[in-house]
Amino acid sequence: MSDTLLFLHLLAAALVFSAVAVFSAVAFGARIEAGTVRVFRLLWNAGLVGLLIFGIALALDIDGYEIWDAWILIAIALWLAVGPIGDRLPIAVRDGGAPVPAAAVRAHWLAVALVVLILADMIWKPWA
Amino acid sequence: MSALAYLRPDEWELPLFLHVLGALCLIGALVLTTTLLVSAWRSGSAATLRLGVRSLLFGVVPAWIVLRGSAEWVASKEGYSDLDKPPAWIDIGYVAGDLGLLLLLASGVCGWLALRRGNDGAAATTAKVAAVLLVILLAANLVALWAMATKPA
Repeated sequence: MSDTLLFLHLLAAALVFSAVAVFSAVAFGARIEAGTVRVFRLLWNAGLVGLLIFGIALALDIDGYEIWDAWILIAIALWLAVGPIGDRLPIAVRDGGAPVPAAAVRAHWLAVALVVLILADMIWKPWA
Repeated sequence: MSALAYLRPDEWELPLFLHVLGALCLIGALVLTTTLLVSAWRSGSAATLRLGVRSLLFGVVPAWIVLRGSAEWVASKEGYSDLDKPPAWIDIGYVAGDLGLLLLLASGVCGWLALRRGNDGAAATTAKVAAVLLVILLAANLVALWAMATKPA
């Protein structure tokens, strides 16, 4: 059961990273159709929801982990922050290839840093 | 396996972090590149094709190098490099990684040929071939992700 949950958790992470790759291309100035960016915004949100659901299910399923462990609480706090911050760039993309505002680009790179921090938290598990 | 993960020594953490980061970046870069190449093939846009080839060079290739290099690092830390008969999930990882290099080279050549051919039907077909090769690579990496997570016997 834990192995399947871990696979689904990683699959959700793969969705998040796929969306991050597309948003990063936009942040670098690539002209990607607004419709494509909207599809990847859906994947970004689906991935984030999957990360939380399967992550909590894993914490409940594995002996030795508790939902109130510091590293899990840190991950949930980072998850709460990354959703709205990461959403700003895809929302700012408009039809016709107009440049994305600098504030949305900055928010995107902050979201990338938060995603990497979540991954580091999953691996190092501080105070576990 | 979950218990093993719970008891993982501290010294495995950096290579494991790089391995998971490399794998997720590779999947993300593959999805981006495939999306761009499919878009270039359908629209015939040379700019999108150029973007797709750049994404392959500066996204997929570095992520593959990080994934493959850190895989060796993790395997040596965990003692899998010395085994005569490694577990099936390790073999699946190696097949996906090494097959990945061949598919990367082939799709890179196709992308470069499509760029050289310019805006004609042959260029669109070559871009399509590159996109199909990357879809196969993406599928192989998803199988490897499943194998790493579930560790089949």
